[in-house]
Amino acid sequence: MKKNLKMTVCFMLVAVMIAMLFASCGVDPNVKQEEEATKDYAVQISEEEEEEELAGFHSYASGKTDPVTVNGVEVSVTDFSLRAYELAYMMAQPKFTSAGDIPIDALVQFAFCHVYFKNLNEMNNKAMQYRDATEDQIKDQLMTYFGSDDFKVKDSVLYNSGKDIFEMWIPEYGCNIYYTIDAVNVSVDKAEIITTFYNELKRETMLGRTTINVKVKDGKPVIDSLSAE
Amino acid sequence: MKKIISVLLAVLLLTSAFSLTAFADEAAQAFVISEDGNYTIDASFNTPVDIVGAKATVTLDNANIQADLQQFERSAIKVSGGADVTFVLEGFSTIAGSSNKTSCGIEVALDSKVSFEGEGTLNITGGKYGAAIGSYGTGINLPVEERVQVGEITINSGNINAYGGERGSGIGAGYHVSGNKITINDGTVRAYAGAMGAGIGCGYGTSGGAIGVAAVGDYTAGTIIINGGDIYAASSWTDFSDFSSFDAINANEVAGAWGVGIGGGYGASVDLIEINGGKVVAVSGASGAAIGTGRGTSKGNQYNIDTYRCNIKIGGDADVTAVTSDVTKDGDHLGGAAIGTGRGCHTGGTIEITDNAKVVAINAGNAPAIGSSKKNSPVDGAIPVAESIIIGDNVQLYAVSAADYAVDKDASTLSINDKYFGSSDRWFFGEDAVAISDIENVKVESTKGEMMYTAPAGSVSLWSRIVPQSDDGGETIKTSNLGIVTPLAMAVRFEDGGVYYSGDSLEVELDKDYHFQMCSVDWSTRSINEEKKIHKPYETFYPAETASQHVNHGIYSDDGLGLCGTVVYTVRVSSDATRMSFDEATKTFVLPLHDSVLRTDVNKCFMAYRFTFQSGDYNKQTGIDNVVYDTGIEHENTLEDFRYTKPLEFLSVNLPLGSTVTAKAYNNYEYFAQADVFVEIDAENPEECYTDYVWPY
Repeated sequence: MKKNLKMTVCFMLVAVMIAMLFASCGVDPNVKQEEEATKDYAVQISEEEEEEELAGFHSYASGKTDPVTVNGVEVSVTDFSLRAYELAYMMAQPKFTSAGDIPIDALVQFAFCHVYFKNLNEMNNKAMQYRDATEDQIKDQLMTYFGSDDFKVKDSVLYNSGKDIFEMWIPEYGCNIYYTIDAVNVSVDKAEIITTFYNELKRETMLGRTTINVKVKDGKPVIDSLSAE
Repeated sequence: MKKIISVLLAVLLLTSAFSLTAFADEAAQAFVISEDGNYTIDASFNTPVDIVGAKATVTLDNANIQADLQQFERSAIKVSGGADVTFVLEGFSTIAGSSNKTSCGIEVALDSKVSFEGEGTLNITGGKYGAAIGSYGTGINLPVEERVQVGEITINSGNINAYGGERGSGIGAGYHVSGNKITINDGTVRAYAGAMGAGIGCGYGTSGGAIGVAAVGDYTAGTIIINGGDIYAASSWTDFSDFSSFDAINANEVAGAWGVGIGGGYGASVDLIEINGGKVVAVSGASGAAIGTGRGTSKGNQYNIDTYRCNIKIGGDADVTAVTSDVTKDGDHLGGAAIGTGRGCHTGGTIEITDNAKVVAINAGNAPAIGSSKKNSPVDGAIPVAESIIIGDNVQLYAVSAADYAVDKDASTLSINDKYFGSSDRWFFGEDAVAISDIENVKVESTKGEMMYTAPAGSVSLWSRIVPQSDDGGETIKTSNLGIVTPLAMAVRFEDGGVYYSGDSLEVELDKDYHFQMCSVDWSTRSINEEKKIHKPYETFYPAETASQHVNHGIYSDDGLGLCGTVVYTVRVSSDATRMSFDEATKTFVLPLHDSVLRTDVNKCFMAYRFTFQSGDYNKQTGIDNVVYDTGIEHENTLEDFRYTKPLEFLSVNLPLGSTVTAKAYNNYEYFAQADVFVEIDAENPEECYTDYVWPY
C-alpha cells in the first residue's frame, strides 16, 4: 500500500513537472509533437536506428563519467578519455610524458583533425575529403589540448609552404568507441583518468586501457601525459 | 562614457576598417556591434559577435570563431534588430555554432538580412538544430506565432562551404523553422544539410502533427532564387562523384534520407525555387527530392492539403543536375523525385523548365525523375500526379528513372512540343533498357567536376532531348594522357575518387592541378599470389574490362580494401616544362608534355616499412590490417582461394604517409601481439629508403 502511494505521488510529481515544462516553453498542448506523431513510412526504422543511421559514428561511455574538479576547474573525464583513445590508437602514440614527445607529423595531424571535428571517431569514412587549415588554427588546437603551441608545426609533412597552409585528406578514423572509465584520481593539480576501451557495446573483449593525466594550465584543463597498453 | 566611445568608434570606422581585437571587451560574453560602419574580424578574435541594428560591412579575414572549441554555447555571430550586414570574405575563415545548444554559425533574425561578398573562403557549420547560415531551431513544434523565423540571405560571391547542424539546413532555416528568402547571384557554394534538412532551404520541418501547426506542409522552405554561381547542395555530406550507373549512385548512398538538396526538409513545402542561371548540382538520399520537397507523411490527419505546395521554375541558361539515389542503407527505395516532390505528398506541384536551360535529372529509385512521388497520397490514397509540368522548346533535357517514368506523363497539365522529340532523338516511356542502351553520352556535373553519363543499365524510362554541342563555340581545352607509375601493391587516388594503378592512364587538362593521395592495396586482391605463384581466376570476380588492370596490383577501395594516406599531393602536366620536377614545398609533380608520367617515389609519397623481431625472425610473421592479413582461407587453387593471404616473415611493405596501421605479430601463424604504427618519414634519416620496425620479441 505504502509502495503504491509512493508510486502515485511520484507519478503526480512527474506529471506536474511535465505540465510546468510545457507551460514554461510556451507549447500549445493541442499541438501534436514529433514524439506523438505516428510513424508513417513503410520501412519501419526506430528512432534510435534513425539517429545512428543518419548521424554516423558514436562513442558510448560508462563507469565514472561525472566531471571532476581540479584546482577549481571542471574537467570532463569523458572528453579526455576520448582524447586518450585518439592519441593512443588513432595517432599510435601509446606513451608520452609531454606533447613534445609526440612526432610532429602525428601531433599536427591530431590538431588538424580537431580543427574540423570535436571527436575524431565521428569522421565520415566513406569518401575522400580535402581540408585545409592555417597555422593559427593548428596552433589554437594544440593550445587547447596541450596548453602550449610551441611546436615547429611547419615541419609537418602536411604543411604546404608554397601556399602557406596545411592540407590533408581526412583520415578514416570514423568508428564507434565503447569505453568504461574505471578510475579518476584527483590530486591537487592533476586528474588521472584510467579508461578501458572495448571492441563492442557489450564490453566483452578489451581493446586496450589508457591512463591520461590532465593538468590545469592557465585555468583550463590540458593533456599532460599518456600511457596506453 | 560608453556611448561616447561608441560614437567615436563609429566615426573612425566610417573612414577605415579596424580589427575588432582592439575593441573587444574581454569580460563580455559577446562583442556587440550596434553602430553603422566597417569592421574586420581576424584570426585573433575568438569571441562571439552580436550585430544589432547596424548597417555594417564586416570583413571575415581568416576569422576563427568556433563555439565548441572556444567554449561558448550560442551562435558564433548573431545578426538582429533590423541589422543589414555585408560579410566580405578574405582568406580562409572558419565559423561554427555550438553543438550543445541550438545555434547557428551566423544567425539571421527575421527583421535583419545578410549578404556575402569577396573572394575568400568561409567554412561554416551550424550548431545544434541550427543552420550554418540562417536560423537556429527548436526541439519541439511551436505555435506559428511563437515560431522562430529567419531573415533574408544573399550570396553575391565568395567560396562558402556550409554544413548544417543537427537537423538544420546548410543555408536557410533550422529545425522546426520555415525559410524566408535566399538569393544566390554568384560565388561557389557547397551546402550540406544536417539530418533530414535541406542543403539550401529549411531544416527538418516535421514528421507530421496537428493541422495548422505541425502538419506536413505547415513549414516551408520559402523562396530560393539562384541567378548564378556554382552551387552544390546535398541532403548530407556526400561525395557524389559517380553518376555513371544506378549501381554507382546507390553505392554512393546519400545518408541524408528524407531531406533534400534544395528546397524543403522533412515535411516542409516549397513556395518557390527559381533557378535562372549558374551551375547547380543537387543530390538527395531516400524519400526526399534533389530539388523540391522532402519526405511527407502517409497520414491524412497529419497532412495540410491547404498549405502544402511545391513550385519549381528552371530557366534562363541554368545548367542543372539533380540526382536522387532514393535508397536506404537496407536497399529500400522510398520514392522521391529528382525534381519535384518527396514521398508522402498529395500533389507533385508545378514544374517549369523553360528558356535555354540544360537539365539532367536522374532517379535511381521508384519515382519519376521529374514530377511527383508515386507513393500513395496521404489524403485519398490515390497515386499523386504533378499539377503542371511545362518543358520549353529550347530546353536540353535528359531525364532517366530506374523504376518509373522519367517524366510524370500523368501530370494534370503536361506541356511539351513533340516535334522536338522526333525519331532521331529518344523519348521512351517504360521501354526495355536494352532499347535505350545506345543513348549518347551526356555531360553532367558532379561535385567533383564534369563527367560523362550514359543511360545506365536497368533504366526503364528515359526521356532525352540532347542538343549536340556546336563546334564553333568555346575555347578548346587541351588535354594530355597522364601515365601512372606506382610500386606494386600501391595505387593513387585522385580527388574525383578515381583509383589508378601502375600502368593505368587518364586524360587530364594541360596546366591544371590535380590533387591525389597514396594508397596501399589489399594484398589478398592481387591476382598472382607472390608467395605461392599461383595465377588466380581474376575475371571471375571483376569485370573483364578492369581485370587486366589489376593483375599484380591488387585493389584499393573505400569499403575496406587497403588503406590511404593523409598527405595531399598535386600533379600537373605542363605545356612549357621541359623536364619532370618535384617541388617539395608544395608536394607538386610538374610533368613535361613529352613525358607525362607520374612516378610516385618512396620517401616523397610513401614509406617502406620492414618488420622484424628482436629475437630473430625464424617462423615469426607480421600482418597489417586491411593490407597483409590472414583471410582465414586455407590455400587451395580454387575460386575460394582468390582472397588468400597470410602474414609474412620479414614483411616489407610500402605504406602511405599519415596513415595509422595496426600491425600484428604471429608465431608460426598464431597471433600473439599487435601495435599501432603511425606511418611517417624517419625524421632523423629522411633519405633512408626503409624504416625498420622491430618487434620487442
